[in-house]
Amino acid sequence: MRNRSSLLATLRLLPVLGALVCGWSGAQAGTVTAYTALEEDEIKEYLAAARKDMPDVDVKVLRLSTGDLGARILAEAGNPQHDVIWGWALTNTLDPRITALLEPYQPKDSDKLAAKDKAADGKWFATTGYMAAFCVNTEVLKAKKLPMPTSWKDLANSVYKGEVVMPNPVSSGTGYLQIAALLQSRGNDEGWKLIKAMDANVAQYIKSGSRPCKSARAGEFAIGTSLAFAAMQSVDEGYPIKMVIPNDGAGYELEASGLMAASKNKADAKRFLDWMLSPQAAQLYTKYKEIVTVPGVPQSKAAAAAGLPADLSKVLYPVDFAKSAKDRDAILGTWQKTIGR
Amino acid sequence: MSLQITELHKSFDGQVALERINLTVGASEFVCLLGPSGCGKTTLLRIIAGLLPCDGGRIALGGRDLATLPARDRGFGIVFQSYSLFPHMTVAQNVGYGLAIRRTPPAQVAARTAELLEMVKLADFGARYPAQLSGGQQQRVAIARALAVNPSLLLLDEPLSALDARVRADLRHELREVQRRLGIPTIMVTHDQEEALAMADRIVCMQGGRIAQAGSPRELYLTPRTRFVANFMGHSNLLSPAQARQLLPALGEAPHDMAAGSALLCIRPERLRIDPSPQGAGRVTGTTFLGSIQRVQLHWNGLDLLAESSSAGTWETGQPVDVSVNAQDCAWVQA
Amino acid sequence: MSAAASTPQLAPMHVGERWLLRACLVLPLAALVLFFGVPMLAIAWRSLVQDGGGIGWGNYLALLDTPGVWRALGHSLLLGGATTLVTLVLAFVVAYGLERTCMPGRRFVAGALALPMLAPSLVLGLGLIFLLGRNGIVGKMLGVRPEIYGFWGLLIADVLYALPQAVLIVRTALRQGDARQYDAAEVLGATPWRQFLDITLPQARYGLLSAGFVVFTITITDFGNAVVIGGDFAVLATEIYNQVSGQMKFGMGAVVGILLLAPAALSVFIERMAAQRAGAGAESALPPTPVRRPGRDAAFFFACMAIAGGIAALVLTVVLASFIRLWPYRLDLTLKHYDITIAGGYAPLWTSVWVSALAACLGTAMLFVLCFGIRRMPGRLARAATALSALPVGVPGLVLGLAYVFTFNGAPWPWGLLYGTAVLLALCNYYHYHTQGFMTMMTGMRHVPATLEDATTVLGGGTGRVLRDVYLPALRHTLLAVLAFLFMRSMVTLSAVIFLVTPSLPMGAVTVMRLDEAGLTSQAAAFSTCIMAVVGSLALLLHLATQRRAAHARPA
Repeated sequence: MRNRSSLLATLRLLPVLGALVCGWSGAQAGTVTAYTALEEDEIKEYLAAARKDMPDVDVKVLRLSTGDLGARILAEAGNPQHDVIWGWALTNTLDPRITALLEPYQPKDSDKLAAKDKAADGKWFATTGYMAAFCVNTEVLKAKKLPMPTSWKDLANSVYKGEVVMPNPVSSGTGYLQIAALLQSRGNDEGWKLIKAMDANVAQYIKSGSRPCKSARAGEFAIGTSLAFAAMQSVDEGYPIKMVIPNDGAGYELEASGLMAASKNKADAKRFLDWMLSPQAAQLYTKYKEIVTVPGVPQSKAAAAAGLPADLSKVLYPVDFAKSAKDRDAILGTWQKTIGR
Repeated sequence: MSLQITELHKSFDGQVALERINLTVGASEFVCLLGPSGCGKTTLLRIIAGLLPCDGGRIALGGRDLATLPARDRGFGIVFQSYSLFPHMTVAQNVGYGLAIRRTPPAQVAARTAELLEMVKLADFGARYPAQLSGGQQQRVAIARALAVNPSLLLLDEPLSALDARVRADLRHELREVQRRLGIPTIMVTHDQEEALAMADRIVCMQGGRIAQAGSPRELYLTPRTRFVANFMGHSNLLSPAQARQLLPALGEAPHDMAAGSALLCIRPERLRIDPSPQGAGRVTGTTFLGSIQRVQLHWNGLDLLAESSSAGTWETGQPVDVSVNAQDCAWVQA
Repeated sequence: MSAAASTPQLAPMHVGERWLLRACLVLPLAALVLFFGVPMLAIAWRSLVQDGGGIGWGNYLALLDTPGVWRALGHSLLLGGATTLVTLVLAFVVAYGLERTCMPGRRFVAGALALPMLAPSLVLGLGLIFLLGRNGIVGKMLGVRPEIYGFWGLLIADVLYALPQAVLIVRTALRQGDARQYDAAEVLGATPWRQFLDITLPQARYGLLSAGFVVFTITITDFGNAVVIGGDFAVLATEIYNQVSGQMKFGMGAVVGILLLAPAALSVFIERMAAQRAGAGAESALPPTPVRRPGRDAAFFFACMAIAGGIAALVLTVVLASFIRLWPYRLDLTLKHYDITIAGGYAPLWTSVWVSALAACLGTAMLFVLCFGIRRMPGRLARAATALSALPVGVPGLVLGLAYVFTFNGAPWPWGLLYGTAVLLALCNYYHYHTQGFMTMMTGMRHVPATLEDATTVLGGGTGRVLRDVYLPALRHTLLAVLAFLFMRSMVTLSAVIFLVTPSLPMGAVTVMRLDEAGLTSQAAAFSTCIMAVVGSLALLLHLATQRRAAHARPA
């Protein structure tokens, strides 16, 4: 009885399955599948705007963290299931295995972008970027009578022993960008020395990039090094958090987008990529990200809140992303051997 | 030492399981509790063992009241229908378990174990595990285990029911031999009346939580007091007083203590004499050949009767026969 | 079992019957090979694909040079061992308390124990942090900042995660007891303590061993807890994650995955050997009825309540946190966290229900047919099926999900069609838990009365009739248990589905992960509460359904 009824149940589901199967094949006009690592709030708002501007294009989004996304894209490399990469860490995008999957496409208006914000061969372009920032829990600082840190060097101060959490660079893109920036701006020797000094104060290296901020705002630790976005969000929600952009070289990451060579709907995918550089989209970017590469937009809310100057090149160390991507294995290897927990 | 049970009773959730049980088991006596399932015999056995409390009444061993004594201090031995050996212990460990608990020195335990295994004819089986033994062998180990601690009373809960017929017959005999040799008072629960007749010194026939009749096997068989006991102890032909008088004109009155009008005359098949006779009032309706004896079904005076004769005779269906019996071979039973 | 295991010959039967029987064994076995065996081979293949191109042992050699991996291996074994020890002790206490004592509150304890199975493993970690974290409730009350991250937090989380499954196994073992043995020992003079040592413990021996190996295996393959609360205590499962997600190195990830298979396979093998020696219980064994003993009952009551209370407190903390505006700073209650509009909103929850129902139905049906086939056609094929069925438990979900992508993405027709569908997701979830389902189904099958089967056959019933009239009624309980288990696990499992979700096929557990990663912890707690509510309701419904059936089946 049960055998037959479960068989019947399965049979009844076949038409639905068929629909799902067909829906998956993605060859339908008007559907663009985007893999992204952008934040959830961003996705919601950007998609709403995209739908308004391009009502006949249905953008389906799969959101995974930076690392998970890379694994997914590479795993599917033999038969990619998406049309565009949208807003993914540049350091990861530059991996040769990824660029091999991309097709060069220069969207309308891409000539407005600075040379460093797009690929020479046209395979990717960056629209936004994020900076590293400290999430400092003012309540814990007060309770433990600790001074407010303002720079990476401050974090090496022994008063913060056991109260600092950083992302693990091996598993988190954010963690990697933080130490890559330190190494590039200070040079290898000085850089590693500072990283080791900070390590004495670090209670944990947390797997994900945003969790250090969450731990800090919940009062578990005093300082979590994370992303400016996470800090801002915590401040917005009402946590006793102060966002501090370290003044001795904040690391940052650009977020790149590109067209997949195996896309089945290149026409609509290209329209979507074009839209990313449109003024409407750029306006939205300023709400969420500190770095907006599209010129002609006012300073982002986040940058203003952090007290950053309008021209960010003054505080940002010009990170060489290609170098950062190339040296990744070596840097992580050294990190694991010297610090490795 | 003798066991004395006085006015014992027990109920489960308002249902009466045992009522007005009065029983004595003398030293070295083998008593069988006999009855159909649900008559309370196992309940009584468990109460005696101390595994179940009773609601009222007195149990005394050698005059000593057992009511407050927990089962593990009574010093009895018990054997179950399902053997219930400890599966992860060897045969020797099983047998010596009771002694090991009493912290007997290992040498003594080994000696006693060997002695008992010899007694139950399993001398070389000490190192085996219960799973490697047959049903009959396992039951012998169970018996040895119960006897190891020199129990003052041996309790057997349908010990032979799970065994096949041949093994049962052999074990029946051995069990009785061992008990006789050791002289331990024993109570055995069974629903098989042949077993009870063969083994018991005294049979206690139980029905619906009460003792229907207690006595020697011979007494219960030849002079049952109620219809239930008569039927349970074996085949019986039951005649109403009117019909009885037809067979035995000189029959006396039913005993006074039996309620008038509810007495029946019980005649055992082997006591009913049948002689071939052309004018006989009885008619043979069928025969069953049982090897050493023959059972003859006959119709007499509107009654279906059963007679037993040696297998030498030949009986034809429809043959007219004369039916007769001796007065002393009959018994009045309560209907 | 009716047929002797050593003779592959079958009694004479109709040709159609024989083919039906063969199909029963071959079809699920083929599915097992296709949906588990082949993906595993794909992983093995990947482990040989070196980073710089080419095939070889490069990745394995690199392993020798990576101190991190060996440290993670040591950590995994240590954690596995410690968790197993603690879990077995606690599981025995709880199982004994539930089965053999008259302690009050048994239903509460049994219910509380089911809670960790209802929610994604994230919930346990979150709850621990809320309760015992440096800024947690207990810490605030006592004025300390306890260190819950790392080995100790992970130990607690894994013990709570494994406890329900261990208790289930030990309870089953304790139910096989024989009351008469206790009576015999009692009359022979054994005290309750001696009876415990001499009868209860040895009899529970194999149950404890079996539970131990299950706990060990699921601990070393667990990933969710390690990520949330493991802190810097690296274990093999997170090492795979580091390789695959952190560094996009599938080769190394595959190697570590295979490394992980070894202790798991070993433990399953040892357990299988032990189970064969345990044998079956006596035919007429009556499980002992618990006797009221105030001292012992009180002791067990306190112990079990402490354990159950701990679990309940943990889960309830998370539920509570979903209603609190801003943990831990603004403690007023609000429903705003339930208004989830990002990460797909509540749609993933219903997709999860639908996929899990599919996984449960497909899985139960296939397990039933497979176990029936193994029982009725013993031989080489059956032995192969049994051996293969023991492997899935040793594969971490992450590895299985990846393997599915490698195998089915771009595969030739018709297998390639499955990629991106709910069916594949359901199958992945089912095969992830195939071993546990298989063991439960085989145990249940052993209790199908062989004599009834024979009687039906002689009366003229073919395989279909035997299935319908003998097996299904006898296995009703087991089937429902497996159905419920597969449904619950599929609803909350995360690591395998990360690689298989698509924009049109989201899953609830992934949403919880996304919400948590986005910093919306309270929303993650709210969504988890919704998942728990759905899974809990179903479990309750099934429980009531079995009770009602049992009541009907009881003679008037």
